[in-house]
Amino acid sequence: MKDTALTGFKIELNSFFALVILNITFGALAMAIGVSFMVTAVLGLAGAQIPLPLRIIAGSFFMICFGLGFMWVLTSARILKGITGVRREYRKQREPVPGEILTGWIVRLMANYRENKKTISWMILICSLGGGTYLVLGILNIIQGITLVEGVLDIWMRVLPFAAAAINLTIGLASLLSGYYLSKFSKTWDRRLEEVERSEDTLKKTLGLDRP
Amino acid sequence: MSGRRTLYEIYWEILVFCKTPRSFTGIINRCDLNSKTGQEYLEFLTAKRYLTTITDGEKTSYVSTAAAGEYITLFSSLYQNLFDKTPGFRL
Repeated sequence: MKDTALTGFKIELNSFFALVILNITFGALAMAIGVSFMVTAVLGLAGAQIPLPLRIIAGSFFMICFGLGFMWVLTSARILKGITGVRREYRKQREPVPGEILTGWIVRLMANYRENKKTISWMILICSLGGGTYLVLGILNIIQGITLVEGVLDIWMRVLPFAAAAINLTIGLASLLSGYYLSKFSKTWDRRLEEVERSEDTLKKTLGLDRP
Repeated sequence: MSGRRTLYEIYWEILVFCKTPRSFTGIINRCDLNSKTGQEYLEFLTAKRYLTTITDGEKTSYVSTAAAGEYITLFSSLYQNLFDKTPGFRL
């Protein structure tokens, strides 16, 4: 068993695990913020002067955010399920790790990636779109905060848009970052899938598996 | 092991598992196969002489041959190379 392969495998397993956990965390955060803002928007607690149709539109938007957050958590949990088994075994395994055990883990991760390849592509797209949307929302919050400063005397009402901006910008940046890393992960594994296809040709030819 | 595996990955799993004699049920359970495909794979590997059968009364077991060792080694080497050659992913 090659040490470099094991080291690479270990780094990758831990990095991907951390990335999925980060996704679950931000998905849960998006859910919580979605619910909180949805209630606030519909009940008009943030400002009674906002007209009802606008509150309904805002409420619907945040309901979608909640739904996306919920989906995000479920999807990430499904991906996580595929790697936690391998990670648990890896942590239990004493070194030196036998080559066959390492190969078995690689095969399992490969199968997990094949199974979730499409989902990961969607996640990358949603991360980019969602991240962009949250960034725009954050910028709008800042503009709202600046324009409110002169008219509103209540300090909390002045601070609120900036607090919302901070939250939205954080989620936006986290989403974009998550999308970037997911895309990096996906490219790495796509290259491996290509490599596996080439390897299969070698296996066929060398061992005569292509002959009837 | 579940998920989408290639034929060669399944062959590898069967051959590694059968390093010690295994029953048909044991193999399909461990390798997460249904009876029909499991039977097809075992027949194929037996025909290619990567597996051989041992009959003990009514009980039939499958065991990997020396030729399977060659396949297992090559497969392991090719898959471990994936983490040697390709620039890996890290946060």
